[in-house]
Amino acid sequence: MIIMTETEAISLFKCLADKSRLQILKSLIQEEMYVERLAERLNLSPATISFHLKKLETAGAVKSRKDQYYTMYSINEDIFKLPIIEILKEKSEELDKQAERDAQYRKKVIDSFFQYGKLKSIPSQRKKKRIVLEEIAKSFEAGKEYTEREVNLIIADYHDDFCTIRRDMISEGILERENMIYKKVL
Amino acid sequence: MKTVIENMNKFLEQRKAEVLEEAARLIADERKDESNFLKAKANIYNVFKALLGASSKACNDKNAFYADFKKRAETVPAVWRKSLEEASRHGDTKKVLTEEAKLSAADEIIAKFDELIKM
Repeated sequence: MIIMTETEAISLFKCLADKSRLQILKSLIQEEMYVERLAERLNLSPATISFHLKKLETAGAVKSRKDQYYTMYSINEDIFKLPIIEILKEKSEELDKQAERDAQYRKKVIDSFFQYGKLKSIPSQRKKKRIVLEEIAKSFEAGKEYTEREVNLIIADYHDDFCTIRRDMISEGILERENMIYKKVL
Repeated sequence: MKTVIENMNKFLEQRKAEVLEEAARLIADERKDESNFLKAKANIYNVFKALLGASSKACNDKNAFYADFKKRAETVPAVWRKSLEEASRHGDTKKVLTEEAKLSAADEIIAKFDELIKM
């Protein structure tokens, strides 16, 4: 089955949003045709037909082949057999860009709040605080159980106010506490 | 000379309005690309209005004015003709249609001018 990227889908949908181009496709679905035949049939100039066919070909909606003196155009059925739902299911190219932007922001926050491995201050903004807490949480092993003293010692390597940070890590759901035993939430 | 200028200006305004009306009709008919070519054509009537104004300012004599305008009216579209040839050679269908639209307006305007000066 054909896989259509977001950019290709946008290009195709934009291309189809034109009455003349739809008329061309409706003609081509009946049989393959050359420019002059389409021009006559649709009462448009050959130059106008060529312009639309070029757009349709670029968008993957039509195919062409040389036949002696003429270039014959036909519909690219594979594209039109692709269900729209499959196009919607394709992974968004925007997601990668968003992830990249998030990573850049995260790095910026870490660079500005940490110096030589120490936390300079606890951010007041929640989003930034969360990033800082997640960074500290990297010192905790997943699945390992810690006593409160062990937690405090780990956090104290970053900042003197380990009580506030420990409580924030609990309230943010980064650490969980049960019977005075702490565990990193995966 | 004054009558020719007045009639030409009237013609240019009228044709521009007609072409823009056709462009609006194409938009309403979901044919935006074709409408854009007509908008490029409509703009040519403004270009020739400016050429007409320049010639009338430059020349007081009727024959000198006619010659001056004809010269301008041939010089400016020559660039579009060259651009059309280039676009055709490279299969640039969008440029071909744009230049064809502009040249169709230019040819129409020159024909009207020739008609008016003969009267």
